[in-house]
Amino acid sequence: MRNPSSGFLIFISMQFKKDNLLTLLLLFPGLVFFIGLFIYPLCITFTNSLTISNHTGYSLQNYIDLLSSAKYWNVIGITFVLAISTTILSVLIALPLALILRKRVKGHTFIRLLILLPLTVLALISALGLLIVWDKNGWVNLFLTQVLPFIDEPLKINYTLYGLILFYAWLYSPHTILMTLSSIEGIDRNVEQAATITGAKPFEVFRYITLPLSMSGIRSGSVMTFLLAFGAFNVPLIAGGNYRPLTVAIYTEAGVFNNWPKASALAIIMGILEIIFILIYFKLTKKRSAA
Amino acid sequence: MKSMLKLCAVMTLSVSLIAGCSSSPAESTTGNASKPSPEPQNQSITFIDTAGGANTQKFFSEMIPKASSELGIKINYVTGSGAEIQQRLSAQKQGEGDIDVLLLKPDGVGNMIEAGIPFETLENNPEIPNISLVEPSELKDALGIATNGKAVPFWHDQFGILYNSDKIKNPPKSWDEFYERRGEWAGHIGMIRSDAKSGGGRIMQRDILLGYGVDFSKPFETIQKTAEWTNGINKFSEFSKAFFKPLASEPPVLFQQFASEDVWITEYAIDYTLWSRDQGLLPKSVKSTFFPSGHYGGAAYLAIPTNAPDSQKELAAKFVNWMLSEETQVNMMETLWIYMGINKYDNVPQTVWNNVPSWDVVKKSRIPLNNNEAYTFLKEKGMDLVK
Repeated sequence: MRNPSSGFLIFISMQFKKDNLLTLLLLFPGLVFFIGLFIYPLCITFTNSLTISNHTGYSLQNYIDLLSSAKYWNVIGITFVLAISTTILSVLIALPLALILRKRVKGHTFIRLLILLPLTVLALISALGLLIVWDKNGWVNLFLTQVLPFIDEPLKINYTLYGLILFYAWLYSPHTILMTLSSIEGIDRNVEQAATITGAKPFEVFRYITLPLSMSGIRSGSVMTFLLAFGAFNVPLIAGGNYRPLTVAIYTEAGVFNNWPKASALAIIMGILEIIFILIYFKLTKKRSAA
Repeated sequence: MKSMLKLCAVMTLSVSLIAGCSSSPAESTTGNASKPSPEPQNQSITFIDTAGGANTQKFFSEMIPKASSELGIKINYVTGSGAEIQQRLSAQKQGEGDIDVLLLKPDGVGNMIEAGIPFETLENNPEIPNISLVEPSELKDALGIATNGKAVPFWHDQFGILYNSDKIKNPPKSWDEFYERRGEWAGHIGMIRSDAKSGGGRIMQRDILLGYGVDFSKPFETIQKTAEWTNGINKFSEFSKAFFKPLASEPPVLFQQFASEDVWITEYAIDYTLWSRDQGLLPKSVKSTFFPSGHYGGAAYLAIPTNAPDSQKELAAKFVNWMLSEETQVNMMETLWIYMGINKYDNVPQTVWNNVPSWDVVKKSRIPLNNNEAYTFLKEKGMDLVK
């Protein structure tokens, strides 16, 4: 006679196999894309980074050269300064804007459309457009110098570091704004009202209720902005002047000097730095939202 | 569960089927130089442009329909890179080629001839009578590369001094004068970075050094030991203090600097700059001038690959003849400000000469990039020389 428990085990194992197969099948297209378009090129890039320009074997020479060069540390520094500053600026823009827009003030639909505008324009076009707008004879400076009586000198924005951060913020902050807005709009207003009724002041409501509850949106939006700013290419190439981040350095190594191994090593370093930073950021913001 | 499995299986099969039906990488062509689908018309040729930029591509897009209607041939105009076309041509067998006419830069012609890609001899081809309008010496070599009649110049592009005539009434006439008078235009002299993708900055550095007497026909190792080199490098560094900073990362940025009047004077491609001016991208007052010490001069050459079927070669020759006609060439010069491939400047209108120096002045001191090592040095170290 068949043992009922063994029959159950066979049923479970069959079910498990079936589920596994189904999972595998469902994962298959995604895996193919992930391996083909990400893992495989990444492996090629990594292998390439270990070769030397004259292709005489494998070594860590490219990494040693890059990491022992003050020039490249400067490039890494600029990349982080740009990405972090843009992220902070985008959060500073996103939070008040989201708080205003959730109240459905007059013209909020138009403002929402305006927020989307930078996403619809190519970065290259935006970069050239921003250069023109912020030029010493551009609209902004014309307005400042000709309309405002207390400003005589045009603002120097183009090719400066803070100008570049401004351009980045214009292009990449919509991601933070939209995600923050969606998480703030998802907060149950009754919770905030309950806090107010129990005596919490508006700032306390914001500090202890609204901010923690919107943290997930702020976090994902700011990560998105950080990643885009870290990988920005067209804007710093066109409008960066002497501020040339990692992407431009990679482009120069590969496209101008034809030194693909060095460019690959830079790309791998860039990827590693990006992952490390995101992990730290997630850990810090997770702790904060948990607190 | 079953239906899910079926769905997945169908999807996987469909994807595999689609992947299987698509052509293999070896069969497909890459980039924008893919062969357009064959036309039902009998008379059709494919013309591939590997030498043009935005200006010339726009010109061709307007000119090709005219050529098509006049010659009664459908002309497929495609752009591509020299290296890519070389790969394609080397894989094609005699009589099976699908490229009928090529427009190449001199190094492209050289690389292909060196790689053993066969081209038709255009000299004495009865279908190309207009070839008689070309300077005979230019049929023998393409800026120092022996072509032996297999390539014919279509245009000559030229670097020169570009300046805003509203800001500079009396432009300099030599690099020495430019250097001496740099204080007049301090902070308004433009240059593209020497480590940019565009070679404009490196060429400017090379031409400045040339102007200070550096002889680039010598080996680079010898050049570096000369007093002219040391003097040239020092003078360049001093000169660069008067440049507008930051240097332009690529040509559009230089143009933007011109448009915003940050830059008043620079050395760059005459044709592209003046064409950009006509497109409204630069001040209308931008003009060009030429230093007797010379500036970089390039060219683009027409060639007919031998591997194309014989019937196609005849049509290709007719098209080449049309391209070399005086009407087409003058039209090109008027539109693009680029010097003609043929040597027949009598019918070029005066308006052209009001904008660009005469060919007689230019042709005497056109200098190709003839020292690769020196050019690479400027590419890698050029930015260190800018102060």
